[in-house]
Order: sequence, then structure tokens, then C-alpha cells
Amino acid sequence: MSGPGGSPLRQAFRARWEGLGGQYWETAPGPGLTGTVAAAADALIDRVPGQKPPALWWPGPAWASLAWEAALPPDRWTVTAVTGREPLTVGGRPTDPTVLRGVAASAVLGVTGAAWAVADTGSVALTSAPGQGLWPSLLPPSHLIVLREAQVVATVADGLRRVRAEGPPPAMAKIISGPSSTADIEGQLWIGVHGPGRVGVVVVTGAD
Amino acid sequence: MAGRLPRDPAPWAARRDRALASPVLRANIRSVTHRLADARRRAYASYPAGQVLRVAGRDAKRRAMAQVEPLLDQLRDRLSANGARVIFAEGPKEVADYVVSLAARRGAQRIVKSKSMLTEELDLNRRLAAAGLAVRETDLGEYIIQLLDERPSHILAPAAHRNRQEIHAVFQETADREGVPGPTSDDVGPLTAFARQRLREDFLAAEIGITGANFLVAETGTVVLITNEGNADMVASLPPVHVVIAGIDKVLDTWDALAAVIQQPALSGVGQRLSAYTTLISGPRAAGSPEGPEELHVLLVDNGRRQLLGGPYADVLTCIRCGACYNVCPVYRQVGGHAYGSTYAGPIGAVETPLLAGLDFLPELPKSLCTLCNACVEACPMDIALPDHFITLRRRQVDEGREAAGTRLTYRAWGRLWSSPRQYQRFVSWARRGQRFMMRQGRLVRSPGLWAGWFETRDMPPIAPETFHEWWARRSPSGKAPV
Repeated sequence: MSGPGGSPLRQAFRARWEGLGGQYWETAPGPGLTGTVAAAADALIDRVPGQKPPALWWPGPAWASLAWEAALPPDRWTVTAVTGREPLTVGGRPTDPTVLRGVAASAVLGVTGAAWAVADTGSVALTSAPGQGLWPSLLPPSHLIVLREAQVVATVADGLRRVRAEGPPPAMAKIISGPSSTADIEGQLWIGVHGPGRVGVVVVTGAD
Repeated sequence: MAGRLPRDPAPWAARRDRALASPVLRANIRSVTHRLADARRRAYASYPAGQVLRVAGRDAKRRAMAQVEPLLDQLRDRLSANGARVIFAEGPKEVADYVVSLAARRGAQRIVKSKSMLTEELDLNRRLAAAGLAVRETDLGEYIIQLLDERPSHILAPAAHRNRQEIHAVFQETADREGVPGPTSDDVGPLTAFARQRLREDFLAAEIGITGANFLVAETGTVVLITNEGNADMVASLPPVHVVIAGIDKVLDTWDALAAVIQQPALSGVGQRLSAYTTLISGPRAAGSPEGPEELHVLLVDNGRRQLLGGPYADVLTCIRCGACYNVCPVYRQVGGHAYGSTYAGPIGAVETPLLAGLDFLPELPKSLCTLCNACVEACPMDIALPDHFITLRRRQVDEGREAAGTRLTYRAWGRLWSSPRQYQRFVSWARRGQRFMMRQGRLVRSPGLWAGWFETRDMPPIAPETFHEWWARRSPSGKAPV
């Protein structure tokens, strides 16, 4: 599932994800990552000149090494960056999660990690856990996901097996397959109802 | 025990004519059903794995329905161990009472809901409103019909019978009442944006969220919710209390069974490999976790389902509410959902409604709303034997004397007359003598008794002065008609 052997899965995931209307970026691990995340974040919003749009940065403990200041520079964004596990911290201070709900509701962009992704369906799964919230994947109109190639599995069943292998399932897991959509008015497809209308993923290529 | 379902008090003929007289309804239902049926066909055609999964999913559902009670016990134990509260509820009153007393204990006034056919079946919104609770439907289609005070006309597209202009009008009316700007036009974008804005405020203010469930996994104590809009995720993760109201037929035995069936609602319903949001909930907020409700309540509802277990109609309980049978049904495509008068429409609704609520409840559904064309059983991902059920339900209506005496006697006499060639030929010669009172411009245009309805929209050629049988008999040396 890595190196050249990993590529077909990654390519299959990309094709399905883009087919569902998701945006896709990939980058080798290393210094290029923050630049790719920065470009992806910019591409997912409509920027009003002179304004610093609010973003909720919450990729979780697995991405502690990814510096938010480089990806969402403070001269271009108003960032609430959640780090830590118990307690959650913003700017080094412990934070009440309910405050973060309000932040998520007013942010234009949420950034999260992922638990796994599925090539067959073009899906990304997120799980609730200490240190990781799901609101940034739901409340803002745009959602950016950071994912490692090794997290891409072939089928939904493979992903679900991964959840079970880790013990009892988490309180909440969600499998996202494209943007929020509806066809409730005259059967016309419309993107972006309650959840994000724009979703993007940055895949870090390679074995791990 | 039989369940209790709400019904449209209007008789079938009135419901049917109302539907047939509405060009907007018929045009919209036609385009929605054709679009969804085509999407399903294309999805399976381009995805061979979907067919393999379908069979595995069907088997998983059947396996679960063969052992519902032990699975429900296991589900309750697992969910309880995960921190949820599990309640077995008989019917509409028990469910509503539970929610009302929960709201009272929490001091809650505002409830948000995601789409649930079961809560429609339980008439829950009306009962909660009667107790003074403000309930807001958050699926876009459900929001529209809630504002219009209507019931869903399609499982997946509840407002399929309404057009943009009608939706714009009711949104504008709502905006005026609530003192906010209305949608900027009657295009889909502005209409959706208006609903998103109004409902966002409701999501954030609600004290209780109510969802249904697409599946329940006994092995792990997991509730599965599937939507394309993301509203169920809001309902399940924003309010401090989440109430799941699910039929006992939603239970699956294992996590692997879930993996087998999880893609079927989207594949058969809208032709996608998965819906945009598939959410798995296994308990309230975990210790140390920043999100999730403080309390999770799971109500497991019977309302007429248990009586079907182990019987000839048990496969009806494997329905995953994908709506595929609605989309291919020639009756549904003409009249839409409201004409059925029940929560459930289409072939599955016509079969399941009397099975849940009793054979005297909307008895016209199995009798009059099926042409036995078999399109439904071809479309059903769970291979539910719908045409067979139509036939046995019709037979039971006759065997149990549920038909009107006039109908019964007419059919009996008709059957006797046509069961021997001699009697048949005698019938023809009587009818030829009588038909001159029933003709206009050389065509038969009306009939007495049971056949009168047939002629309301059709005519037929009259019986010939000499039938083939008579002609043959006249020419045959033996003087006998062919048999």
C-alpha cells in the first residue's frame, strides 16, 4: 500500500473524489506541505480584498508538526488554531469546546485531518476523539482535509475494518463523500446546503 | 399488535382525482421518478461490486430479521454500555410521551429533526406541537412541506410534488412572518440559501435533536445516519440531547453486516456509491472528547412490526427505504405519494401499510394501486416479494370476507358464467341483446354494476352480430362450436 504500489489507490481515490465535486492536491512529505495547504485553503474560499477571513484550524494531534502559521499566515487569515488534547488549547490557553462551536459556525474554512479514505467511493472518514472535533468539517462553508496516502484503503469495508481493529467504535465517525448537496427542489442538484459546499483534500504521498 | 398510522381521511377516489388533476404534481413526480430510476440503473451498470454488495446486504438484512429479539437485546446492552439510554416503545403515544417528558426534564422548548419516515408514521410532530414544543424539520424537502403543512410525497424527495414558484411563495410568506429578508429569487440557489440561513439558526438554538436511523448495529451499539445535505450531522452533534427514533426492523447483527449493506441506500436511492454523509454514532460524547451530545436516547419502536416477524410478510421488514420501487411503479409515477393516503407510498407502502395497521386500514392500497407489472421487484435491492404480497393480500381480503357483498356476488356470478363454454356463449348472447342500451356511435360506452368504472375513461367495440364461435358452429358439419 505504499510507494509505487500505493499509487493506484491514490489515483483511484483522486478520480472518485474529484468526480463527486471535491478538490484535490497532493504533495511529497517535507517542506512543500505547508505551501500546498496554503494554496488549497486559498482556492476553497472567495477572498474579499483587504479582509482576513476567519478559519478554524483543527487537524488534530496527528498533525501537530504541521505549523498553522505557515499554512494560514496571520496577515491573510484570522485563525483559531486548536491544539492539545486534554485540555484543548487555543494560543496556549485551555479552551471550552462550546466556544469552538461558535467559532466553527462563523468560520469560512475548517481544516481537519482524517482517519482513513476510500478509493472505491472517493470518501474520507473522520472520527471524534480527544483532541479532534468534527464541527470544522460541518459548519463552515468550506472544509479542507489533510490526509496521508497510507490512510487510503480500497473499499468502505476495509475502512470499517480499520475502525473495528482499533477497538470499540468511536462515539461518532463520519464518512464524507463530496460536498453537501440536495435535489429537493424540482430534482435539480444543488451543492452546499447545510454542510460545506466546497471540500478539498491535500494528500501527502508516500509510505507513511 | 397492529400499529397505528395516520391517514388522509379523503377516500381513494378523491385522493386519486386530486393527484390526476394537478399538472404541477404530475410533471414533477414524472421527472423526479425518471431521474432517480435512471440514476440507479446507471450506478449498478457501472459498478459490478454494487451488485455483489447488494446480495450480501440483502442476506444480512434477512439474517437480522430472523433473529430480531436477541439482536435488540444485544443492541440495548451495547448502547447502554456506551452510555446511551435505550427504550422499547410500542407506538405513537409512547414515543411522544417519552420525548415530551424528556423535554420537560431538560427544560427544552426547541427541537430540530432530520428526516425520518418513522416519525411521520408516528405523527410525532403533531403530538409534540400539541405539547407546546417547537419542532423544526431540517431536511430541505421536509422543511418545505412542514411550512406548507403537508406530508412527504416521496421518501427521498418529500417536496417532489411542488415547483420552485410554490416554494418561493411559502418561503417569502415565512420570511414576512419572521421579519427577515426573503429569498432573492425563485431559482434553486437563492431558495436553498434562504433555507440554509433560517435552519442554521434553529440548529444552533435547539435543545434537543431528533433523528431516525438507517441501520442499527447490535454488535457494537451503533446508529447509522445517511444524508446528502449534512443536516442529520447537525441534529446529532449540535444540541445537548440527541434522540434516535428507529423501528426495530433497522437492526443488523454485526459490523461486517453493516459493511455489506451501507452503500445500498445511496446506490438504489439516488445512484451514488455513498451519500455525502454517512454517520456512525455509538454513544454520547466520550470523556475528553470536545463534541457530541451529553445525552443519547435510542427509542426502538414496534408499531405493528413484531406481528410480521417469522411470517410470510417478514421480508417487508428488510426494506431500507431507498424509494427504488416508487420510482419505477407505473401507478406511483401517475399519482405520486399523497394519493396513497398513507405515510408510505409506492409498492412497498401499498403492501406495508395494511400489514402494519391492519387489513381494514386503507384496504384499497393492495387492491387498486398495483398493476402486477413486477417492475418493483426488479428494482428492489432487498428482493422483497412485492407482487406476491399484492396477490396474497388481495386473496386474504376476499377469503376473509372484507369485500363488499355486491362485489363478491358479482364476481362469483361472473366466474360461474365464464367457467364453461356453454355458459360463456349464453352470456354473450344475453349481452348482445342488452348492449344496444349501452352504445353511442357504434361503440360500447357504459355498463351497469361493477364494470361502470372501466368505461369512465374508455369505450370498447360492441359484441359482433355473429361471433367467431357462432360462425364456426354454423359452418361445421357437426353444428358444434369449437371448444
